[in-house]
Amino acid sequence: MFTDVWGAFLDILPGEWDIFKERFIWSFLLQGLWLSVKIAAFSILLSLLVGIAMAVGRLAPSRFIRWPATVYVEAFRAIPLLLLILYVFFGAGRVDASWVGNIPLLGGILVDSQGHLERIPAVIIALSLYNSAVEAEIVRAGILSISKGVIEAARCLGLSYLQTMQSVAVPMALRRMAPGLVSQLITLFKDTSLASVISVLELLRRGRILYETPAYTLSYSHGSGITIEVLTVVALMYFIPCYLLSLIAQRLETGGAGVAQKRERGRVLRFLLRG
Amino acid sequence: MSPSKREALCIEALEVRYGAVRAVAGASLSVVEGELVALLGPSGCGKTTLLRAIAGFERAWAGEIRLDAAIIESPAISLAPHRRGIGLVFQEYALFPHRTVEGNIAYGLPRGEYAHGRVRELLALAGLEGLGKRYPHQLSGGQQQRVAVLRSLAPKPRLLLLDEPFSNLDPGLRVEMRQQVAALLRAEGVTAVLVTHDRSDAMALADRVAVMQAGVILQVDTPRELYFRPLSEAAARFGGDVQLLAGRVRRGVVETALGRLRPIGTPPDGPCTALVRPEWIVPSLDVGLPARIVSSRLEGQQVRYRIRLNSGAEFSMTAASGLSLAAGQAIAVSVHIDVPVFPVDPP
Repeated sequence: MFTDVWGAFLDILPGEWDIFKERFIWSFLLQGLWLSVKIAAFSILLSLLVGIAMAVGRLAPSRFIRWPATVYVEAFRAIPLLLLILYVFFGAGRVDASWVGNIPLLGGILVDSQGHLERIPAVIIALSLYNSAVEAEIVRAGILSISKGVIEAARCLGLSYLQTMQSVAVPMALRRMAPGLVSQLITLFKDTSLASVISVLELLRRGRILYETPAYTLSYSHGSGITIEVLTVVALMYFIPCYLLSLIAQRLETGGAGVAQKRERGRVLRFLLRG
Repeated sequence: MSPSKREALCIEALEVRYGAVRAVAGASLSVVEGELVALLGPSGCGKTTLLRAIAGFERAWAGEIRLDAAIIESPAISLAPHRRGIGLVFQEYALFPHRTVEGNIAYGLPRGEYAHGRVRELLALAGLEGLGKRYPHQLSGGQQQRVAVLRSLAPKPRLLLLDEPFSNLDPGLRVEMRQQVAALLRAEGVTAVLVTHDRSDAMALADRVAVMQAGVILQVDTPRELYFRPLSEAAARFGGDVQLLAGRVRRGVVETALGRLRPIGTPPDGPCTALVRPEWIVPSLDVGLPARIVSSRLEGQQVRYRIRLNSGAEFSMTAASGLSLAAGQAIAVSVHIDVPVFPVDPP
């Protein structure tokens, strides 16, 4: 029943949509989406941890912490991400990392049988390096926007520098910086598509495989085959998680101390509707 | 200040520099346990810098600060702010916006039953019961201010510092808050140093007032002493309106244009400057030097007059508005109290 309706719908659309009547085509693409989401999730986690640490480090009282953090941020945000992915992947190929293989659980995932870094961990590392540098600057700006008094007040109440950062400065900065930070995370998710250059079978790579497969392409009279149709579906697949992320950002922004802001927004809306 | 009380805070010849600028230039101050001392001075005199050095946010270039006899700040030693046990109330309150009133007050306390009881006790003390679940932005300025004070008091600090705590409040609220905060501090029996540029804040709240100018402390005394017996012309300006008269000391009496006045102490014979505050000149109909009202201006509860003696010398005089003297009216004026006398600076 459902497949009939779906098939009829695809027939109405302009273009060549026949292959999307096949269930295995969808599962082929969705596996790619799932891999992209996994790569992004690990990179987000890793880059936020490192990024927050670098932001706090760049504001540290000691220059022996401040300087290395500054060098890290300046270096990694100034290198094209595509180059960084190639660099980490091929660079890691020269290093014998077989000792990593001995680490329980993780070892088998990170390196192959020859002791070389796997493609997927390489992409996660490259994405984390670049994005942590950018996120560090966003978080640092957020911490700097908090009044000095609030941070000093926490110090006077008996919290050390690190405790103050952890329980006052970073939570306040993250809330304030949520829109900027989520924009960056959305960018990170879309940038997982760059992994296709080292043949990681993520979403875009799988899309390309689909429209470059002669069996699908040659049956059509026009040169580009089903390229546009496949890319459209892939684009929609990228859109959904990105939009979910931006919904989360809105929730973060209006939570807690943002109640007044929400009320204010309601007032503006009512005013506009009445006018 | 009774001599039996223990010294809580001692600042000795403290210097704090910003580059080449000496923001605090050799300040010394001693505060005993349970005492409230006001640091009074104009903007830029170094009083806030001194306060921040006590709290641990500025480094000493010279001298030292001791708390309960232990050095907490010197060029060689600097105890981290969170290890000093000093509370600080900020001018802009600096409440944590993401925490409720209770969360703010309990912030410096170990979590648990004790914190709960302490928060409730403090809220009751400040008359803020029922506001515990609110967020800072849902409070009025005066309420935020009391929460800021409570937050600093909660961990029972060894010393409480207050940085211009009333300057963000409108004048009516300011007087009320002054009394409420003073009552809170006394109820907790905390030793406190308050920084202010407002003479009435200092006079109304403090056991003693330390007047500060250009990075040094000129005089530390009770408000009464500072007003009636300032030790220098500069210190006199902090106690109230200043009117200085050229005079000459001869055999224990000061001869001035306002007649022969009794000086405080026994200044040496010779030229001098005598302080006669406008309100120290007492008008009457017949007792004293004959004078005439030149002009008058109402200033709140009192009236400021310009008066001229027969000699032609003019003075400023303030009196209660109920006297209602008119311009041109003939009166008599006299000074009944001992006046402070300062040596004349060599030209």
